[in-house]
Order: sequence, then structure tokens, then C-alpha cells
Amino acid sequence: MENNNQKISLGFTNQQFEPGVHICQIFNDDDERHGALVNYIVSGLQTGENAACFSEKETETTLSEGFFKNGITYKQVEKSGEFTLSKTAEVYFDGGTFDPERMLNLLKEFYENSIKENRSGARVIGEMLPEIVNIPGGSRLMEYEAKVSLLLRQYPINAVCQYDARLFDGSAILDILKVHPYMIVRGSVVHNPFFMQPEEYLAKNNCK
Amino acid sequence: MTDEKLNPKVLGQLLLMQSILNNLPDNKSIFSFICKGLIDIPGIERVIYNEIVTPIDDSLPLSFSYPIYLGNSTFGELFVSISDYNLFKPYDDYLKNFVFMIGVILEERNQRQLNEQHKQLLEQRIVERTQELYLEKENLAESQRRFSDLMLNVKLLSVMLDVNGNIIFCNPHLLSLTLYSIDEIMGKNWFDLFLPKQIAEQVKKVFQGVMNGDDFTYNYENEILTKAGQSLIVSWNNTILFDANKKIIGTASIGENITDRKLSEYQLKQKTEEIEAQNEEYQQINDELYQTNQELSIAKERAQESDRLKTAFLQNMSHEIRTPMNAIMGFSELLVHNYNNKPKLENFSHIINQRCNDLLVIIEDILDIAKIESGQLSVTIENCNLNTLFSELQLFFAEQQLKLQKQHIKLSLEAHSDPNISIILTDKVKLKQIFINLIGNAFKFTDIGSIEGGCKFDDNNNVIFFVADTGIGIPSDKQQFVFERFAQVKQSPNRLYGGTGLGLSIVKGLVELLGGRIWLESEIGKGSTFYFSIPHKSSLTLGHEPVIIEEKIKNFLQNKTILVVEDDSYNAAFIKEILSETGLNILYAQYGNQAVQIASTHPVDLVLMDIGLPDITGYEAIRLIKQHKPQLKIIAQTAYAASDDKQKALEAGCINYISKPLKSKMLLSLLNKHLS
Repeated sequence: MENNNQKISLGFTNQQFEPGVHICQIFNDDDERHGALVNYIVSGLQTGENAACFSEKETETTLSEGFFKNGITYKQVEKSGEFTLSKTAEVYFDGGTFDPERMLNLLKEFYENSIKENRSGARVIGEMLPEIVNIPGGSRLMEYEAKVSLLLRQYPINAVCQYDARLFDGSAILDILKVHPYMIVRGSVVHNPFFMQPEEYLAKNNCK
Repeated sequence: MTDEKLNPKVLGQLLLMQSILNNLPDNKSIFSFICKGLIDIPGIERVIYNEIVTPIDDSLPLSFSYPIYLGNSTFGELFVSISDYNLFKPYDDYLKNFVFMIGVILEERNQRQLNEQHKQLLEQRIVERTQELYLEKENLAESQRRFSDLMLNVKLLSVMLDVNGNIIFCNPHLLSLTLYSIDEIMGKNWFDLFLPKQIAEQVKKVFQGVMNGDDFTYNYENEILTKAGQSLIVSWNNTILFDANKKIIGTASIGENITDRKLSEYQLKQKTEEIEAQNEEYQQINDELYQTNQELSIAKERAQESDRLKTAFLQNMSHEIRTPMNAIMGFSELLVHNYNNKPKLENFSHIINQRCNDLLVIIEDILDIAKIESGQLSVTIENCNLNTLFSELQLFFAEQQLKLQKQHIKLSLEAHSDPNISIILTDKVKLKQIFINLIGNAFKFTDIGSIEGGCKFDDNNNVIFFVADTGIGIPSDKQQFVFERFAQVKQSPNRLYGGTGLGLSIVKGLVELLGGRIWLESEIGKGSTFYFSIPHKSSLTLGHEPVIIEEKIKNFLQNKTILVVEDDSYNAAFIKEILSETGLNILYAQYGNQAVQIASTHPVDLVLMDIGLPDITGYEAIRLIKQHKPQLKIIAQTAYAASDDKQKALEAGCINYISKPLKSKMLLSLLNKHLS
């Protein structure tokens, strides 16, 4: 299922991308994280996409100002369903487990519903929690990320995964790099040289 | 070319890793990231991070150590195991550069962390300091508010002056006390406005000195004037105001209006002074009362002593009077029964006469002491020839020695050899009485030896008389009492020597009356010497002393008429008996008026006038008689035997005086003198 394949802005620079980009942001500064998040969501909403945010730190209050500066009223987009804000744990660890398939379905449904709603597309941004290593199914995080890349080929949803470098081990960071084709470096989206094609990654790691 | 085999993706990985390294939190995370990332470099099998650089072990398959440098020190190494050196070899230099960059990144990171820590510390310090400043500001604001409240509401005067003494602040209380409005005093010179003119300039100079660094008086009191000119006394507490550079910018003063307190203190001080003065007065009164008490106590003791002495004196007098009285009465009674026994009659008469004389002495002593005590004794100054006096005394005591049966004691009286010097001006009668007492005393207490008397002249123009005996002497502890009245009574309770005990007391009184003093030297068993002095006044005109000469006067006074004025019939009879053989024509008067009448109407040659008469006094009668017959000779005769009675009689117009009891020889001698 694909949209009209118009190029989109991710809100970081004037750079245009094909829909369905999968990006990671390795940050160690909350302002950097918050700035990227707001710009990303606002640019989506401005181009008619539905946007979803999974974060433990963001609230209506933290987002409203950024939205408002860009001519968007938080209440309005929330009420219209153009924007949803959820807690990361509630979305990713629903039922106390991390289930990649459920998450992939969620993304799929989100995209499908957005299209059904005649939105130009859909974008999600979520900050992964370090607790995932202790959550049942948490070890499948990289598998999930690789499969997201596969899913995006069919459902060109735009996805940004935020990882706090201060909370994840360096080895895990490098694994994260291997499953995201793009990454944000100093405010710019760049091709990730560590990226492995999902099929290769999944195969190498004996994933289904 | 080796470069041709390079995979750009690998180079990109190395660059990306360098970028991401900065985001990783710690070395553990960094090196786990690096070790995992470098495996993507072709030919590398494994990468390990060692904190210490390990020497290459040749036994191992291909492996390389890439030391990591932080500045000049080694931080550790990346130990790389190679699986395919040919594949790896093109990346060797890149890896070396990468490892070098890791060192730079770590150093930069450390520096950044240090900076961050420093920044955090600074920020923390800023926060803390900000909080402190905030608190200080709050405290300052609170302090200012309190100060402001205090200054506005406190009942103390508050004022701040600049360096010129101009008012830059004052509180409402100062305004209300001084009656000024704020506009009237702000910016005005404190000293000109509030201080009295006479001190303003002086205080201003002192203030300027303080502003220039002179010593400062922090607390003082002074006077200020209100707008109405009323004076207030204020107690000030002052402090100097400085700016941030410690430069003096003025003074701040807090003052208390102590006018009322000062007034109270002044009143209290006055009251205290009054009380102190009163206390002093009371103390003085107290002292006087104490002194009076002491004196009263002494007087009481003296009175008690005097009372005891007087009682003893009366007992002694009683004894002394009764003793001769006993003889007089007893022998008088015996006269009747022995009328025909002439020898006995003569003996009894002699005894009676002797005892009467003793009695007379006692009475004269009593009268003398009474006169001395009452100050009624007067002095009659006249020429006194000491040689004559001593001759009379010698004669007098020759008779006394016979009576006392002490003829064996030699009496020697010697005046000065120069007859001009031996005549002095004094009261001869009293001087004689002094000697009679002293010599009589000497005889009384001397059984063997001698008695000497005499005089000499000292350098102070005094005549020093003395009477020395070889008698029993006076103990030294008794010597101070011998001149006290009734002393003999006090000292000799056993009355061995008899006497009234008034003799020496009379002597002392007479000596002092003559302007002299008396003292003694004595030793027990060896005798006593009494000295007395009187001022020496030389006689300018030598006179002749009347000498009573015993002579035969029978019938010498024939054809002369004498008026005897005597109210006592016994005395009148006695006089008649004395004059019975003189051939005188005797007229009698019992009353004063009667005497005046007789003297005026009869040819009378001489009046023998008694002084104590039933109607008028003898002095009055003399005065009246003199009115009629101024030239009529009158001789006073009275029982008032004091020495000044003679003076009175002479002043009344009498030509002479004779005291009772009358001595026949004396009376006849006088009559002979004035009628022959």
C-alpha cells in the first residue's frame, strides 16, 4: 500500500525524502531530542500527515508551545486525531511484554487509518526506554527495528526512533545503527554507513 | 593500489563512530561501541580495549596494538586481531588515525566533562549565591523594613547627618519633640538649628574633626533646643557611617529624651543633699546629745561624788562642830558649879575660849569656801610688805604652837632681803589667810623637824611663795586630790588629824583669785613643800600697815561717848563688859532707826554699828546718820565675817570694821585708835 509517493520534509532541514524513512536519533541532550521531535511532528502535520508520538517526557504542555510557534494548536490537532501523544511504555510494553508483531501491526494500522482519513501520510516518533532490556521480548528490539524497515517498504510510514546514548550501552548503540538506514547527526539526516539491509540483518541474527 | 580496495562505507563508519562517540556517556560505553564498530573493517576478527598497553605476543596470529594517547600519556590500547591481513592492511593507517582521534575525542571529552563539572559547579555556586543574595536581599529588605518601622515608631530620637552636619534623615519622634516639620529641617545644619548658640560652633568643629578621622565620642549627653526654644536634654548613642570604600559619609545617632529624668535626678540630688545636710545636722545634734549625755553622765558622777563628799562633809562638819561645842557646853555648865574655884574657872574659861576659836575657824572656812564657790569673794589690792606679813605670821604661829604644843618645831619665815622688792601689790588679807592655812596644815602634819616659809621672784614677774615641812608627806597617788574640797575627808577616813578638809581647797581658791597657781612636792616620811605663785606687782607708794598693838587702854577714853547699836542683848552685854573699864559713856540702840535718832540728837563720838538689824540694815542706818553727821566716826561690827564685808562697810562710810565674835583686844585697840 503506497501513497502518492510525493517527497516529504522531516522538519530537520530543507532536505526532501521519499515517504517511509526509518531514522534513528542517538542523543544525549533532551533539548536536542525535544527540538527534533517538535520539528518532525510539526512538519508532518503541516504537510497533512497524521502524527503519533510515544514519549515518557513529552506532555501537552511541553509540546503546545512548539506547535503554537508553528501555527498549530495542540488541542485542535489532538481533537481532530491528527496528532496523538502516548506514553512509550503504554505502547511498547502493553501487557508487560514487548511484542514486535503487535507493534508492527500498530504501525500498519496507523498508516492505513491515516490514508483512510485522507491524510497525506503518517509519521511516528518514539523514544525507546532502556528498561526494554529487562522486559520480556526486549531482546527482539533489533529484530523489530529491522522489520520496521521491511514494513516501511509496503506501508511508507515515516518513523524516527530516539535513543538516549546516556542510557544505552555503546554496543547496543552500534546494533541500533545497524538497523536504521538513516540517522540524525548534528541536526541533519544522513545515510547510516552501519546500516545492514533488514533481510541481511535478520538472516545474520537468525531472525524469522 | 591499496586505496582501490578501500570501502568508502567503512571510512564513513569510522567518521560516524567519531561523531557518535561524543554522545556516549562513559568509557565503557565508548569502547564497547568502538570494539563492536571496528569489526566491520575488513580483515579484522576481533577488537579488545585494554587499559594497559600489552606487549605484542609473536606466538599469536596477526594482531596489532593501537595505543590511545591522551596528550603525552597512554590511555590504553585497542588490541586488534586480524583474520585477513591483506584485507585489513588498507585500513591500517585509517585505523591509526581513528585511534588517534579517539584520544583527541577522549581528551576533548574529558576537558568538556571538566568544563561541564566546572560549569555545573559554577552554576551551582551561582544558584547558591543567587539564593544567598536573594536571602540577603530579603533579609536586607526585612531589616530595612524593621529599621524603618523602628525608626518611625520608636520613642527615641533618630537623626543622620552628612559630613557637613546637614540632616539627611530624622524620625517622626524627633519632629514631634522638637516641633519642626520635616521640610523645615531636612538638609539644614543640625548644629545651627538645634544646638544653643554658645556651643554650636565649638561642637561643629569637633564634628568636622571626627569627619576627618579624629577620635569619636560614641555616647554623650547634650542640650538641644526645640523650635519653641525649649531646652531638652538628650542622651545620644552615635555611630559613624562609611561608604563601601570605608570612606566616612556621616553619622547616625539615636537619642533618648532624658529631660524629665535629669530633672528628677536634679531634684533627687537636691533632696539627697537636703537629707544629707539634715542628716549632718542630726548627726551634729546627736553628737551634741552624746556630748551632753557624756557631760551629764560625768556631771551625774560628779554630782553623786559631790553628794557623797557633801554627805561626808556634813558628817565631818557635824563632828568638827560638835567636838568644840561639846567642850564649850560641857565646861560652861561646869563654870556654874565651880564658881568659887578660881583656878578651875580660869582653866574652864580658857578651854571654852580655845574651843570657841576652833569653832570660829570652822565657820570661817565654810564661809570662805562658800564665797569662793559662788564667786562672791572680791580682791582688795593694797601694799603688802612681805617682811611685815611674815613677822605677823611668826607671831601668830608662836601662839598657835603653844596651843598645839608643838614648840619643838622650828618655824622659819623669810622674805626677800631687799626691802623695796619685798613690798608687793596684792590682797594682803587673802595672802595671809593662804599662809595661815598652809603653815597651819604643816604644823598639823609635822611632829618633828621644822617648817620653813619664804618667797622668791621668777623670770615671769611672779612671786613664788613656799611652805615646806618635814612632816608625814603625801603619797604621790593622793597628791592630785589634796586641793579638792573635803579632800582630807576623802583621804583620811580615820580622822587621825582632824579638820574640815577645806583648808587646801580654800588656799587653791584664794591663790587663783589672786591670779596665781598652787602646786606641791612631797615624799612620804620626808615632808611636803607647797608652792604658790602670784603675779608680782611692785608697790609705787609705800604705806604703813596698821598694826594692832596691844596696849593698856583703861580710862583712856574718858569723856568720850560711844553709841553701841546691837539688837542682840547678850552681845550688847558682852560689849558693855569689855568697855566697862574704858571710862566711855555708852549709849545703846537696838534698832537701826533708833540708832539714827540717837546719833542725830546726842553728842556721840563714835558709833559701833551692827549690820544685821531688825528694821533697817546697818548700811542704811549709816547712810542716814551720815546725812546728819557726815564726820561722825562709825565702826561696823557684824557676824557677816566675809572679807568683802569689810569693803562694803568702808564704802558705806565706816572708818573701820570688826567682825564677830568680837575680840576684846581688837575692839579696844580700834576704839583707842579712832577716839584717842
